[in-house]
Amino acid sequence: MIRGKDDAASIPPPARCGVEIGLSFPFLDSPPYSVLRGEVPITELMGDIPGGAGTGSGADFPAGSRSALAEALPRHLPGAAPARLHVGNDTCERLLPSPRSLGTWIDAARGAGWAVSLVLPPLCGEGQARTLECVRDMEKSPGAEVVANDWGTVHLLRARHPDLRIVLGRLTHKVMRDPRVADLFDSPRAPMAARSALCRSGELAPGFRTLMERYGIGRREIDPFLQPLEEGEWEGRGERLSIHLPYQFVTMGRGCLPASMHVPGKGKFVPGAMCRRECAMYAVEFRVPLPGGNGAGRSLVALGNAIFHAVPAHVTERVLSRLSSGGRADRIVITVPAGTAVSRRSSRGRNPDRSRRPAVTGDARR
Amino acid sequence: MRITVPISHPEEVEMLAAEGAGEFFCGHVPPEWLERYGGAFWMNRRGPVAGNLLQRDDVSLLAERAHARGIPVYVTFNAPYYTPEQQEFLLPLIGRLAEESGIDGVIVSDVGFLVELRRALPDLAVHASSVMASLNPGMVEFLAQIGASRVIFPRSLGTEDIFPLCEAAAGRMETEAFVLNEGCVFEEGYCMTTHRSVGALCVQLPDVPSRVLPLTPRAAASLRREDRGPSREMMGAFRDWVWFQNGCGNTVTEGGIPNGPCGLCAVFDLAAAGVTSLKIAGRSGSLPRKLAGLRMVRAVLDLVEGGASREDAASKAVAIRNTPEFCAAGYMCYYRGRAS
Repeated sequence: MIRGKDDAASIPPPARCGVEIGLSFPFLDSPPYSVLRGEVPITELMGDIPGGAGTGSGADFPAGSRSALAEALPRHLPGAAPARLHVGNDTCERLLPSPRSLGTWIDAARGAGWAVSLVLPPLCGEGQARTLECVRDMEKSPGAEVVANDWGTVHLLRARHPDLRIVLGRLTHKVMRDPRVADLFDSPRAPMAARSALCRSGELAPGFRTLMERYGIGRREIDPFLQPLEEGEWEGRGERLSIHLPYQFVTMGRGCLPASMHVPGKGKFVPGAMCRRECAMYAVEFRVPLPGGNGAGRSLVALGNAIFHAVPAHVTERVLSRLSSGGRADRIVITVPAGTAVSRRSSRGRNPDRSRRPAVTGDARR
Repeated sequence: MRITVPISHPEEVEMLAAEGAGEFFCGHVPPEWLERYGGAFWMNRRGPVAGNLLQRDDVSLLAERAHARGIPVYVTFNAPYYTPEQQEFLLPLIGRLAEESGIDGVIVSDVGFLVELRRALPDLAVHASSVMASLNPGMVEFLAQIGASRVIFPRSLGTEDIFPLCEAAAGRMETEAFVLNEGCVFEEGYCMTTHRSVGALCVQLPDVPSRVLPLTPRAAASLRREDRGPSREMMGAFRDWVWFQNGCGNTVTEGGIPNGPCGLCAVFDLAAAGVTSLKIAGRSGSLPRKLAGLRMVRAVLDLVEGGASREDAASKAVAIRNTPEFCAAGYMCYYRGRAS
């Protein structure tokens, strides 16, 4: 029986409000020094609009969601400040940091007093080998975690690193997620059993519980689902929960749409093919119609090789309400996409001053 | 190397067996499931009716006829997950299928359900579905430890990825790789969208309004100049790729051969890797479609097992398909850029 160390004593102390805030920079290749130095208020991280003003596209695809989060965060979690840096991308293996690059992120985070989570996508064999090199450095870092998004990597990491803190990534959380119809999942017109099945996973079943115990997993990440998850999905489990905001993962492929922009001929969409990291420059927005034919639609956005939906304000409210009320959910992970101001100015400067953490700002703090 | 063939009716056994089927997989959705969940939660990766046997007696008859020809039958329970209540419903159902209907094993996608099945029915073979997204040797180790008897590789793996996975599985688990039909634009094991009512998201995307968004001022400038053409070409290529993955718009050739995702010219490499079964997808297809696909795979496998070279097997596979323009397009291959 494989068993890891992941008890309450090893979990870093929570922020003042009892909720830890992690910032994820899935498309950044060097640490966000300006953020770590406290030069960028967290609200600014969410207020800048990729593809919006100044870039000429007029796009506003995440604006509502991100501004809603910026407004709601200080109201629900006054005084909360980011204390964890998420390094890596949970869908693309090509964005796995090298051991050297990861070392830079770890040093930068340590200098600012932040903990680090290495985020792994679903890995192929080659990616697993690279990951093992990275994890050696992680183990030395206080509070460090590895977020694994496939069970093969969980198994490998636990076998090689019995004391490593492993977090189960959101891609492994099997719950129906389809922004086109998710509003209907909880419909009173649906059979009760169907409603229940569409608003929860199979993770409370004995077999899954056995795996969580066997692999010593004390935390799992989940998405901000459009449908309200059943209470048991939140509180009926032993592990802690981290919730992503403001993007809900919808689906991913190992062939990448933005990367195909500069691939000639039929080489496009080949899994694992070379790219120019077009994901740091471009996203693709799709407007999918909702059932009913009344012209209503939802925006999906291809960020790299995955499709996301920036959740509306009422979902953000629901998630933050749960966080501030205590319970198993005690961390949010805020994704800062490519193209934000912080991404553009992040790589300038070094030696962040740990006394200047970015704080949540907003009306509720006054 | 066996050919794993989809089947949806006992009457199909004889003809598919005669054409060289090595094993069958089918779906079974009992009326009780439909009463509980309607069409809202599919019991497996096909709709509640199409491609599924609704009566357990039909599964029994199918198994009886298949076994008379020495062919095992596996039943798929490959929804991405089952809630605790659903697992309580399914465990006795699968127990009856094993003990009374005589099935040889089941195919599952939910890792927790696999663990529970092994605990409840330790003698029943359990295959890890492609929906489990077994991408790495660690996953093969994991599956071996929790008692899977076969790993079905996801569609996105290349033959160079499959070699080390077969090596990891050797002597402990059987292996199965896709060879024909039913592509996935996204990674099936990480796609939790529904095909119900609204259709497949991936098929829908090329037809909905879309726009390329520059994320930086520099990208915005590039999109107005040097990346303007490539960005348009990208979206056009995306439409083409989705069309090919969707069975070339679900078409067949004049000769009745199904168009769409194909790994025929990689059969040599798959055999060399040690893959034990070649999967033809398409439970909901018609019998003629199933037969046409099976004949093609049988022909290529016979060539490989008869000693044909890699190049010879691949060129004959293209000739057997008889759609050279589709093969040349590149987007129809499961094992693109690797074997062909």
